[in-house]
Amino acid sequence: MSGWTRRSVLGGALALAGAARAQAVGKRVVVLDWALTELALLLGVTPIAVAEAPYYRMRVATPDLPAEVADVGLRAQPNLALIASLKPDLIVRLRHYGPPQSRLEAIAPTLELAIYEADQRAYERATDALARMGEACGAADRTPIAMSRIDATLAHSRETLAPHFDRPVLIANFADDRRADVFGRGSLFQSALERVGLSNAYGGPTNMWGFATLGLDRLARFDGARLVALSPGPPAALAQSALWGALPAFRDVVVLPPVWVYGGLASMMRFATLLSDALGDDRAP
Amino acid sequence: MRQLVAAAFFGLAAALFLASLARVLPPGEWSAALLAPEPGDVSALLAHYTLFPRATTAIAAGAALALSGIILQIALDNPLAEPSTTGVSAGAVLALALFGTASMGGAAQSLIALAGGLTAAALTLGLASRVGMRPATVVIAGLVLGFAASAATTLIALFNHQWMRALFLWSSGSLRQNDWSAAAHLAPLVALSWIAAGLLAHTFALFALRDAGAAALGAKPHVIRLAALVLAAGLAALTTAEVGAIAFIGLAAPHLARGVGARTMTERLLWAPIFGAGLLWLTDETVKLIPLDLPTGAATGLLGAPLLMALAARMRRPSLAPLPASTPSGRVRPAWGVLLVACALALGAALFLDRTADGWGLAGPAQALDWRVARALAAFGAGAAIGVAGALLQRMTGNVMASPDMIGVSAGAALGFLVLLYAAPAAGAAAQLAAGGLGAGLAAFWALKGLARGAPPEQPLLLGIGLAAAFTGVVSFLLASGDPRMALAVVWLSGSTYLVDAQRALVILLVAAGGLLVALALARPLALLPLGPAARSAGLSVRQVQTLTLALASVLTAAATLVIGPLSFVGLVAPHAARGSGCRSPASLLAGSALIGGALLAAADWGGRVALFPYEIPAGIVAMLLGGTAALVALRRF
Repeated sequence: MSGWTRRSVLGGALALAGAARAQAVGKRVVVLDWALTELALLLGVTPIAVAEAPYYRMRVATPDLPAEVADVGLRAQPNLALIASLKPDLIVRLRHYGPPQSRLEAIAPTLELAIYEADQRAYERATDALARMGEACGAADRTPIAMSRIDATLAHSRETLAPHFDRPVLIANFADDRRADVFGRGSLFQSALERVGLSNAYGGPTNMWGFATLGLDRLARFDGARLVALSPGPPAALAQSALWGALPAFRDVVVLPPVWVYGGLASMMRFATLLSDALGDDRAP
Repeated sequence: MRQLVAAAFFGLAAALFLASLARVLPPGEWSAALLAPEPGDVSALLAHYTLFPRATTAIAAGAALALSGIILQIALDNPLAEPSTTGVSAGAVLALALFGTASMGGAAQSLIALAGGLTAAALTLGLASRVGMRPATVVIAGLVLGFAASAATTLIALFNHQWMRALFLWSSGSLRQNDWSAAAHLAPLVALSWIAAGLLAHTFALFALRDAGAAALGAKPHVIRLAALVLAAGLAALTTAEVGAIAFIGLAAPHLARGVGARTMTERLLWAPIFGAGLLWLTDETVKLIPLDLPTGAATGLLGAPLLMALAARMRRPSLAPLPASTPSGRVRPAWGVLLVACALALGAALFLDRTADGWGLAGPAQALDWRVARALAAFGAGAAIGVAGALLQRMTGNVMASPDMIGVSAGAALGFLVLLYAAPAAGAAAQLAAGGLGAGLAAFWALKGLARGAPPEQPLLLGIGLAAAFTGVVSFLLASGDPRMALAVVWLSGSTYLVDAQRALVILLVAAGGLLVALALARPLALLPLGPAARSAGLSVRQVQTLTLALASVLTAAATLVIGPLSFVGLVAPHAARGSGCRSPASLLAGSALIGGALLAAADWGGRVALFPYEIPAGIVAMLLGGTAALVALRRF
C-alpha cells in the first residue's frame, strides 16, 4: 500500500514539472488526430495546430488544449494549404486516417503513429506512440515522467475501487435506445479495468477499437454485473420503458461524464478517475 | 400464382420467426409471453417487448410502404416512383439531425421525424401545385428537395460524426423494437389507408386515361392526384417516423405484385401491400439470422433486386408508359454565351480567388498550381462527365427521374471502394481505384445484361435502384458501426476533390471530352428512340442504340465516381437545367449538360473550400445545396 502512495506523490510532482516546461520545446508540431493530441499534451508538448481543435475541447476535454492552438479543419481532410502556410517542423498523423502520408510529406516531415489496429494491442501501441512522439518532438526525457504519472493515477483509482473488486462491470456506450457499444478486449478501458483491479463482465469478441455493439436482448443477460454507461447514458425513452424497468441487469446503472472512446493514454486515465469518482461515493454492494 | 407466391413469402418468414422464438422460449410459453409475460422472466420479457413487436412492425411497415409506393406510381404515372420520391425520408432524417439530440429514441424522435417528413412532402406538393400538379414537376421537386435535405444532413454529420451514430442507425432502417408503440401506431394506419385506397380504386383508374381523358369524363385530375399524393406521403412519413428510412420495398412490392399477375387497379392496390408485408417480414427474419447487427433497410435492396430480376421475363412491357421528358415548344436557341461565361467564372474563381488564414485574396500562379489546378479541373471534368451521362439516360428512357446513380454504377463503384476500406485499410490509391472500377464494372454488366435480354429500358434502372438502395443501407450500416475511419468515407461519398492529383484530373478531363464526342455521335439515333423499336438510324437498331447509350453512360459515371465520388445530383439536374436554357435537340442537350455539370461542380468545389475555411466541405454537398436551391427556385417559375 505504501508503495503505491509513494509512487503517486512522485508522479504528481514530476508531472507538474513537465507541464511547467511545456513551452520549452521549440518544434512547430501539427497534430491531425485527437488521441495523438492527448499524447503530445501529456508530454508537455503544445502543438501549434490541431485538426478540429474546438471539438477536441468539447469531446476529449482533458488534457486542456490551450486557446492559442490553431484549427486546421476536419480530421478526415485537414486543410493542406493552411498546414503548409503554418510552416510546421513536424506533422503527426494517425495510421488509416486523414490524408495519405505522401501528401503530408510534401509539406513537412510526417510521423505516422498507430494505436488501434487489428491485433488489438492498443495499450502497448499507445505507450510506444508516446515514446516515439517524445523522441520526434525532442521531449524524450519526459516520456518516463508521463508514464509514472499514468501509473500513479491508476494506482490511486485502484485504492478507491477496492471495495468493488468482487462485482464485474459492464462498460457500455449507448448508440440509441435499442443497442449499445460494450467495451472489452483491445480497448484502453479494458487495460484501465485490469490496472485498477476490476473485472469486465464482457469477455466476448470485439472490433479493432475494442468494442462490440450489442442489442438489448444481449445486454439484458449480464444481470450480475454493474452497468457503467458513458455519457449521455441510456436514452430517456429507454430508461423509462417497461422493458428497462423490468430487467434486473439495468437496475443500478452508473453514468460517467463524456470520455473519448477512440482516445489515448490521457483518456484512459480520465476513464479510471471518473470511474473511481463515481463508484467511490457508492457503498459496496 | 399470386396467392402461391404470397403464401411462400409469409410461410417462410413465419417459419424463421418461430425458429427465432424457439431459441428464446419453449413453445409452451409462447402465448403467455405474448399476452402477459411474468415480470421476473427475462426471456419472456424479451420475447414480449422485442421479438413479437418486431415481427408485427415489419408486416405493418412493409404493407404501408408498398401501399404508399403503388399509389405514387399510379398517381404520378411513373414506374420509378416510390415513397421517398416525395422527399419524405430525407426530410425526416434532416429534421432529426437538426432537432434531435443524440440517441433520444421514443415518441419524441418519432414526432420530430414525422414533422420533418410532412414538411418535405408539403413543400414538394406546394411547389407542384403551382403548376397544376404535373407529375413530372412533383417528381423533380421531390427528388431535388430530397437531395438538398440529405446534403444538409451530411454537412451536419461531417462535424458531428461520432455523435450522429443514432441518426445513422435510424436512417439505415432497423426494425429492432423495445416496446409495442411502433406496431400499435402502424397497424391501424395501414388498415385504414388500405380501405381508403380500395374505395378510391375506381377514381385512380382514371389516371390510366391520362389527364386529358380523365378531364373529358368530368373528373378533376389534379384534385384526385393531390388527394392520392397526400395519402401516399402521409403513409410514408408516418412509417418513416416509426421505423426509419427503409428503401426499395415501396418500389419493388408493386412491381412484384404486377409481375405475378395483379393487373387491374383494384388487384394492384390489394396485392402490393401484401407483397410489401411479406417481403419486409422475410427480409427482416433473414437479417436476424446474420450475427452482425445488419439493418433491415440495407438488406431490402440486396434481397429485392434479384427478385425483380427473376421476374424480369414477365415484365417485358414497361409497367407504365414513360412520360415524354418535355415537349419542345417552338424553336428556342440554346444560350451558349451564358453557359460559357458561367464556366469561365466558375473556373476562374476556383483557380484564383482564395481564402487563407489572413482573409481573402488573389492566389498567385504558383499557389494556384500547388493547391488548386488539379482540383478545379477534376471537378469540372467530373461534373461534365456526369452531366452527359444524365442527359444520355434521360433521353434514352424518356424518364425525367433517370439519373446516373440509377444504373447502379456509382453504387457499385462506391461499394467496391468501401469494402476495400473496410477489409484492407492499408491498401493504396491504386487498389482503391481497382476495387471501385471492379464494382462499377459488375454493376454495368448487370444493367446491360438485363437490357440485352429484351427488358424495357427502365428495367436496368429498377435493378440499379435496388443496388443503390442496398448500397445506401450498407453505407449507413458501416457509418453506424462506430468505425472512426468512416469519417473518410462520409467525405468521399459526398463527392470530394480532396485527394485528386494532376494525373487523375487529366484522366477525368479526357474521359469527359471523349465521352461527349461519342455521345454527340449517338445524338441522331437517340432522337429516334421515342419512335419505337421499329425505328432504325444510321444502321443501328433501337436495341443497339440503347445498349451503346447505357454502356457510355456507365463508363462516364464510373470514371467520375472513381475520381471524386458519387455525384447523382449533378447528373439529375444538369440535363434539366440545360433544357431550361434552351438546349432542346439531343446534341445541344448533351453539350449543354456537360457545360452546366462542369460549371456547377467547379463552383461548388471552390465554394466548399472557402465557405467555412479552414473546414473543407466536399464539392458534392455544396453542389446539392446550391444547385438544389437554384432548381427549386426555377421550378417555382416554371
